[in-house]
Amino acid sequence: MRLFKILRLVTAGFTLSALLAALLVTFAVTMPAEARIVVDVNRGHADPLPIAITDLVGSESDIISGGSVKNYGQRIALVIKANLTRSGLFHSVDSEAFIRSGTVEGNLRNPNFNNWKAIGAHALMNGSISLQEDGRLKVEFRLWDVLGANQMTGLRYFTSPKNWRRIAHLISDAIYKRMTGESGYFDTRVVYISESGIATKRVKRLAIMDQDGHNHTFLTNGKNLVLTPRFSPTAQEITYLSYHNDDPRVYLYNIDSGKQEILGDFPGMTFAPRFSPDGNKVIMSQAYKGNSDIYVMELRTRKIKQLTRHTAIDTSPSYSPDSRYVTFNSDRGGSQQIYVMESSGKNIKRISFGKGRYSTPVWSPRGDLIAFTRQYQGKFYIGVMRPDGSGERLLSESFLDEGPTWSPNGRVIMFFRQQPYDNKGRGGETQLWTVDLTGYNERQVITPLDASDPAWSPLIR
Amino acid sequence: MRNAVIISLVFHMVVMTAGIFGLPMTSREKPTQMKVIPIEMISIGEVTKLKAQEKKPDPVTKKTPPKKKMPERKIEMPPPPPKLASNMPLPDMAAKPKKKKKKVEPEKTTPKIASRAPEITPKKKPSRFNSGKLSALLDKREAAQPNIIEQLKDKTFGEERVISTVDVRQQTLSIIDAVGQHIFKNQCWNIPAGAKGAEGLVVTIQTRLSPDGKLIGSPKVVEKRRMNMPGQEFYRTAAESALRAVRKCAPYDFLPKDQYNLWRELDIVFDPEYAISG
Repeated sequence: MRLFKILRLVTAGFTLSALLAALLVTFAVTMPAEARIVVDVNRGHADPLPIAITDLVGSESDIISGGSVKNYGQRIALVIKANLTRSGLFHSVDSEAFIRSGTVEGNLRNPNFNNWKAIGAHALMNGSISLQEDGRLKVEFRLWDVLGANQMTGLRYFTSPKNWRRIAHLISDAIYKRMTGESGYFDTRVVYISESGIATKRVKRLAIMDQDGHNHTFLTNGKNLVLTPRFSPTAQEITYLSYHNDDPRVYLYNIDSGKQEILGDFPGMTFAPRFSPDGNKVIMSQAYKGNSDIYVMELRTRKIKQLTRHTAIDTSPSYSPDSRYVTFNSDRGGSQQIYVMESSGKNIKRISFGKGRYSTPVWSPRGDLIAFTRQYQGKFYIGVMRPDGSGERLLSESFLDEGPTWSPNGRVIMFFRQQPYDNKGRGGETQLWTVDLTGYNERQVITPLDASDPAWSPLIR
Repeated sequence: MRNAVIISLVFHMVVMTAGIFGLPMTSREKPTQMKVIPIEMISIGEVTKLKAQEKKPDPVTKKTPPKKKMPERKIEMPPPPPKLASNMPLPDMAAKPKKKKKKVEPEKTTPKIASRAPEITPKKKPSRFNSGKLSALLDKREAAQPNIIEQLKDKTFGEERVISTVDVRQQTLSIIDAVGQHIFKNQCWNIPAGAKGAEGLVVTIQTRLSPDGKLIGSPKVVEKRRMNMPGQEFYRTAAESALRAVRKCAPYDFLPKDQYNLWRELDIVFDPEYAISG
């Protein structure tokens, strides 16, 4: 009996020791995790992402006004390529390099990723276009991650054939958003001042076009001088300044309806009217008895409130996207500099301290930066800085760069540039340009005549 | 009953004693080893950033702490037992280290890494006071310990290689540097410049590699959940950019095959702050 008990105890002891051993082994197994090597990569490149954009597959026999459905598919692809390339973030892989294999239908749903990888594409866009019985176009596309071999997004649109260019912009925006995480800016428009004639008798007309320069239209006939057009951030509405019988008036113009109304007659000179982010107010500077200050007007009640009271010249006000702050330009410190204040007019703080003169501050729709014009040692620059004045970066430089306006995603700035005059008085052309936040992607926007003072619209809804 | 309790207690004591003294992982001396290793002993090839970081502390470290620690350790070390001594490389056996050099170098495709490894073994001291060999000889427990050193003993090469912690650190740094250089030189990583708060979009990718440097399975984003959270579109973009970089740069066939156990799993951290702010 005793022996039996001893045996039981010994067995229990073995069990315990086995458990202990198991615990120790588990402990030991976890050790090698420490051996995992961590590689820190902190140097990279900012090269455009190679994307292959194929023509949208469509029937050649279906004919609509302007060409076959297949032809529309090719044109849409061209606009998408141009949009993405212009953004500076994408590089469209030459279609001559495309490796064609398999069926058209099969390639649309199951692309051969190895073929696309072989030509260096990181992303692929393909799709189709077809004519519906009701005369509308059905356009669908898919965006593929070539290296990851999966679909990133896919969308379908129905539209009238005359809107084919807008569809191209919408697809461009969808690709841009999926690849960058940020809303696109291709389905937008730009208003600007179109200029023609000799310097002493300049004709200035209000004009509008798509952001890529297409669908250009004049909104005014040029009889009256127009200045400083600004888009409403919430609607397809513009505010601008026009001289009628030498009196400056602030106008409100609805692009969709073509309806125009006078916002108000103001005593003295009025400058640079600009909408608040909610579109309910217009902030502007007004010169009265030789002194210029910042005022804000409620659009519904037309009530005006004075925000600054200073003997200095306060101009070019612009709201922050949350409407809590206003940035403006003032010479109250002795030279033209940029200031930020609360939207009530309190707590005015200077934020620019660099050499030269700073003007035309415009708050980014993203809220993180303020764009400005800087004049220093005979040159003009377009730059950005944080709302507290830190992180100033100059993005463009020329004889005369001025009037920055933000794309709705806050990633691109459009401005106008004037060429210098030569000894014989030639030159002086004004053109529209864009530059992105990196400062490396600077491009001209082609306009039919000279162009100045652009204003970028929000995304068209 | 008393006997039973006594027997049980004695037996448990025996098991515990065996566990504590017999099993190496219960008393880890790794940290002390790592502390003793002076950084200036690590010679890094032509690598830029690491070289810059390592060069600076040279004069300081030579003067102060590491040298003080070295002699301390010598004092504490008991004389090697005769059996082990017979395995030690004596001065007349100076050919052995050369053999090692040849073993590491044949990877001609990876000259940067292979060339660095042998440089660390202090050639000036062909005596038995090679810190790495001493540690391996004196501390028998390490042979059974599944740590980095153990992993570096590549049994596929027939001969057992004794590698010091200096080697480990040097080789680790070499691998880190080689992978970083490879990703940069081949322009695999497109930084998400221009995105709001791009500087803070740090992404860690976990990879598993085959012995020939190919990716095993799909590389994984450590914070994968964050990619699909609303308002984290910028992070998703940054993560996808990092994934593209890892895939584009594969295969990593330049890594030394004899150190496969060291790089079979790599965590690659993509930090755009320096790249963006310059």
